[in-house]
Amino acid sequence: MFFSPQEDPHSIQVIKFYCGSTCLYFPLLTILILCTDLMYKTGRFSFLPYLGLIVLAEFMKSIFINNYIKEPEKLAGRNAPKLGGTGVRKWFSEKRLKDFSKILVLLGLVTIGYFIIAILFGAELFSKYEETFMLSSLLMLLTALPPCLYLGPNYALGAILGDEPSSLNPLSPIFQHVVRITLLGVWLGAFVIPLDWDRPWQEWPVPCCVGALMGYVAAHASALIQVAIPRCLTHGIASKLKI
Amino acid sequence: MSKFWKYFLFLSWMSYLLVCGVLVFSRGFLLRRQVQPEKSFCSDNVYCSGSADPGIESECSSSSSPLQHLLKEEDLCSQGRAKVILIVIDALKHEFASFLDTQEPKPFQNRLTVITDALSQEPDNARLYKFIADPPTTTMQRLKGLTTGSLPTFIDMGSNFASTEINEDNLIDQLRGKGKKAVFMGDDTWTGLYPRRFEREFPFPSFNVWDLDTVDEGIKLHLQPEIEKNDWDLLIAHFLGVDHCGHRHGPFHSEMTRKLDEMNTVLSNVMNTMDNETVLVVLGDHGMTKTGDHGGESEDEVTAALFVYSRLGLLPSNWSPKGTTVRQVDLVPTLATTLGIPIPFSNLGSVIIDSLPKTNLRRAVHPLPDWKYALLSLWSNIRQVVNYIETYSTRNNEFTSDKLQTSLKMYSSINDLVKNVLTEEEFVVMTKQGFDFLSGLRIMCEKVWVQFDTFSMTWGLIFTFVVLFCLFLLIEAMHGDKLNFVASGVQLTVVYIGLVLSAVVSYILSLFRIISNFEKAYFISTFGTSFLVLALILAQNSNTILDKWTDTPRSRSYLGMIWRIVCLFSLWAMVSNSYVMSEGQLLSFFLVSLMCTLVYSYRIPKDVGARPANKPAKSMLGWLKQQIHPTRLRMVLVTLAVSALLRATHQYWRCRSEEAGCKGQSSFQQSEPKKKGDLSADPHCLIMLICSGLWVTFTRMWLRSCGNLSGYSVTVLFARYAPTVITVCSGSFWVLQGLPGETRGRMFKQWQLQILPWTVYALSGLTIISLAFCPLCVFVVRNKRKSKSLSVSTSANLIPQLYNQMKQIISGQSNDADPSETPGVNPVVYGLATAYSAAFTVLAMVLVPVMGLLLGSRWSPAIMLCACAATLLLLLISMLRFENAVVSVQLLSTSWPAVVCWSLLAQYAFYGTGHQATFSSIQWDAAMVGTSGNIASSRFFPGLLVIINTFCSHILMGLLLPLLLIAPLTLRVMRPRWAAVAVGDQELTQGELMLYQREDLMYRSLTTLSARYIFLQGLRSLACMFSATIHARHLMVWAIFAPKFIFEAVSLFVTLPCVLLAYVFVGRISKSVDSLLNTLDAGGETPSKSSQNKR
Repeated sequence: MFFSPQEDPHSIQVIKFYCGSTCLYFPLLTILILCTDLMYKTGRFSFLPYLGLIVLAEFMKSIFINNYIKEPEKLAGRNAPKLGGTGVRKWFSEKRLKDFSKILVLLGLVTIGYFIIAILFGAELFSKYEETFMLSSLLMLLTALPPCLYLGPNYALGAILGDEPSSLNPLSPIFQHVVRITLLGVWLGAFVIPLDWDRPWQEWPVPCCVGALMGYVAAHASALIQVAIPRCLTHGIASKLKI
Repeated sequence: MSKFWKYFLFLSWMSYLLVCGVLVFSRGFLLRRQVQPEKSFCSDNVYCSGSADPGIESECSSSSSPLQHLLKEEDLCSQGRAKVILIVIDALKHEFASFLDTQEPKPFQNRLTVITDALSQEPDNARLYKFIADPPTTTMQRLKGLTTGSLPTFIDMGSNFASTEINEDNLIDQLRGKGKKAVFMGDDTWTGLYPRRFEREFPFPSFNVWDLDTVDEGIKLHLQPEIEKNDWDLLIAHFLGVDHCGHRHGPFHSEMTRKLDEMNTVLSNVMNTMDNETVLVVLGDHGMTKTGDHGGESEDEVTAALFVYSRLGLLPSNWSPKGTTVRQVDLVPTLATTLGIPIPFSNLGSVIIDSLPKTNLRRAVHPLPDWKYALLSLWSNIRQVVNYIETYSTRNNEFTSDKLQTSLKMYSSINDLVKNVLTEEEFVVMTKQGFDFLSGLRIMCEKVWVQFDTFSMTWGLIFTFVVLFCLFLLIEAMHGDKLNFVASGVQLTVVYIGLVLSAVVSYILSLFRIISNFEKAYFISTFGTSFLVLALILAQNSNTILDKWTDTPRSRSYLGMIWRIVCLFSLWAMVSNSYVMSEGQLLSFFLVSLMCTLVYSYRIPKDVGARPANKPAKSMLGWLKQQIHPTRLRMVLVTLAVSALLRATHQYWRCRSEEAGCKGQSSFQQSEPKKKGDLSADPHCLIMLICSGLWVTFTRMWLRSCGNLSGYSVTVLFARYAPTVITVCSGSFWVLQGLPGETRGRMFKQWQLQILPWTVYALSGLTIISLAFCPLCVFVVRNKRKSKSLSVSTSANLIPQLYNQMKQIISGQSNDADPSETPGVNPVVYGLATAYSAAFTVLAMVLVPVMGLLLGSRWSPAIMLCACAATLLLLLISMLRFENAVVSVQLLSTSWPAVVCWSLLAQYAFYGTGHQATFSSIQWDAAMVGTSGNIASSRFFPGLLVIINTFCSHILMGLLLPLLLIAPLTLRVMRPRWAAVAVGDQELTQGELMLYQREDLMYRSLTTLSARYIFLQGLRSLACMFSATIHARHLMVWAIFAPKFIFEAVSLFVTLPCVLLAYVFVGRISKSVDSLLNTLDAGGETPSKSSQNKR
């Protein structure tokens, strides 16, 4: 339908949890932003704390998934004290540090990339830096942060750019899907800007930010629907078509 | 019939039908008003003037109320009270004339002090009005309105530079009819409108917009002597300097101050010399925008000034209910009344009572009281308008009957009222009603003349739609594997014979008046014939078409849908006025989106894409490099470069006058006035020089690296030297034009400067002609022994080898006369592998600087940027083309997204090169480049220059369209590593010769490509027509949708011949390649294909 996830129960579980949790809290956040004056602030630096909220939620999700949803074979073949020991050692390891710095560099580059792309698409060049920057950082958080957290820096960019998934992580196709739909939302949001209705929500980058948030929700919801609504439905249709 | 011609005939047939469809629509949409041939007349002696015959005069004195008697008269003639000096100052805005109490007046403010003084010192003798023009605010339309009193319609506007004689009843003819004399001096538009009507005339050319003074100096020379001659009744002087200054420098320039001061002196001189029986009327025919342009209907353009002054004194202003705002048509009855001539038959204005002169005691023996005189003139005015409306409505049923009835009822009630007017107070009350009635009639006419011909519009829409639909079906079916598709030769012959026959027959029939409307009959028969044959073709091929639609595996990737969405959105945008206004933004947005999705959906081929991802990188940079595949990185970079170039052209946009905060820039005005002697270079000039230099250098480098600049054929010689000369000439022309006027005048004579553009035109023309006759830029070396032994690996002593080779080549040439001396050695043809693209490159290399010259120093970098963007877009598309090509043949089919990209770029570049779909933003100055002084003879050449300026992007992209087909092959030859894909076909190493070897396939793909391009352009026109239809009653239809439709239609008309020419040009190249290879074969040599690409 939208993407082709792996079929094994573990990855379905991961996807269900990941998309489900997003579908729980993110619409609330979006509604909060849309219904209050926060919407008009999306292009201001004062919106940064709310971006922090998104980051926090994403971190919590990743910690939960990494710790509680285990692959069955790993779960079977390990003993508890050893895990604790390696966990602590890993936390401070040089590799971790290196990965962390790589992630930071990558996120920075992605932000700059979105900034440049926004200008190439027609955002103002010599003014409204703040607005454009806020849009690009929002996009960075929505599209680049999750891949970095789950796939690690080596596979994140590939997932964003839509390469053939080279990581075995079950979430990798989800991320591609999210990137596409979110960017589609931003793209569609831009259409209301030139209209002469003189509404405050037509100001750059408000419709684009709103489009991004909605696209993000829509992407997760559609992914959840595809995975969670059992295959009997799709299978049924497919088999009917085959006959 | 060969394939080539068959396809060509098919394409041109389709183009012809498209043009016809659009024309049918435009006939219905662009309105015309029917000109009524009647003239007003009146008997000379009507009321108690001194010249009247004694009978009436006695009646006058005997009758107790002469007024009642006079009002019953059918043909009232007003009593001439004064002579008139009519001074038209082109583009005299109301702001220029009115006094504003300010500390820092702008360059145009408070300059006409003589008007201000007259208003304050002699309030009874002077009046100043806001003089509202009816759009379009172009000079010829305004003059028509100012003399006939009728409303202009949209269709008139296009003929601004081909002014034709006025046949409608007008002031000048009425004056002559009464045996009075008119003298004219100034703008030669008048003599075009009124040839042989003036007693004496002193016309001066109006076309040279850069010339601020010639017309004005000429008028000043004749004005005072003519005033003193005093044998005229109407003296017209039309000054152009202010308007030209607006066009050239804008209203905020110090030149404007100078011109207005000059006008002030002229006016004060006239006011001092004119006698007491003269009324001086000073008016502007239209205003100007803040950029100095005009033509539209914004308030700045519409609001002109009208100043009336007479020593006789003017009627009191409380008699006139109009206040200080009058319409331009109102001047016609006012002048007619003042001069004592009948009001022109089709006038719709109402007399301005408070600018009529008071009783002239010397002329009339028994004058009427002033208020009676005013009442009479108003009454005759009302009668004339009612008479006109009645006559008009009997011939056309355009007015609805109930409206007509209402107005006639009002007329009779006024008729009753007017007979009972006995005192001045009653008269003032009556005037109010009279003016309400007149303005009501005028508004009714305005509404009705915006009446569309729905029949033509509907059929135009349907025709265009059907043509586009058939075209789509045919090309989509042809895109499959069926080689022998499209019409057979017989069918095409039948169609063309049918087209000619239908034209001839309908012409003959109309000649013998068997059918009334030639055009309608012609269009109907044309479409009838064409659709019969089209239906036949479709029916014949219905199997193929249906197969195509059922068999094609639909690719459901939703990224592949994006281009369709983009197409739909860009069409849908025509319907919304905000989107039409910001279309430049929209198009660049769509183009960038489309390119991004193309790159995003690009799948890296698996075999090449095995990247060493797991190998840890040493540095951060290396790690980053690993993250992205080199092919993708290359594509991303190219996309970014194209987008950046497009983004850079955003600064060349013009804003529309409707937009808020549109300060605007006119093409040829500097931002700040230059001080005398300031020779510092304009930054725009510098940028222009750098850009055009870079463009020529890079294209030359490319051609040389292809090997297309060697040899001594005519084309190669032109390609080598012409662009440089062209660039230098156009650059120096603009640098010299940028000099302040006085300096330039001291240094050069006018014609000396014109040599430069003429050199450019001549050289580019010669290059294009030589390209047409010998399109190959190749160099044949027949005798070459050692070049093959030269391998790059022995780089240690490469230079001596090169030297030897050079020697060989030179000696080989000397032996060239006798090729049989060295039998068995293959000839080497330089640049044969890029023969096709080289010809187009040369074309672009020459055309772009010429367009740059026409665009002017400010805008010429934009066309270079757009051309570079087009080049990079070609690169991107060629790289993408290799993605899914499995066999080399597939490289020859151009996908829809590529054509959409190209078409979007052509549309965008229209905006990117500083144009807008409004009439006031047409860069008329382009007509001046190289023509000033000698354009009176022909309007064709300046018109052509303006068209090239306005539609430069459509011309360029249309002519370079075949490059979309050729470019991948060029890329494969020139940069094999960039196109390193699975297609390892031996065929590809031949480069563009593959086109020649698969000629059938090439023509088929080229036809598909051209047809798709035409289809996209036609679709845009259809969308414009559609939006114009549904918005026909929209508030902004004349400001936004109608100009958009006209520009889109003209761009289609320009694009079609360009695409067809490009098609023929490809055929021409193929033929030349054929003959070249044949000569080589005839020489007993087999051309060595491996060495065709020697640099």
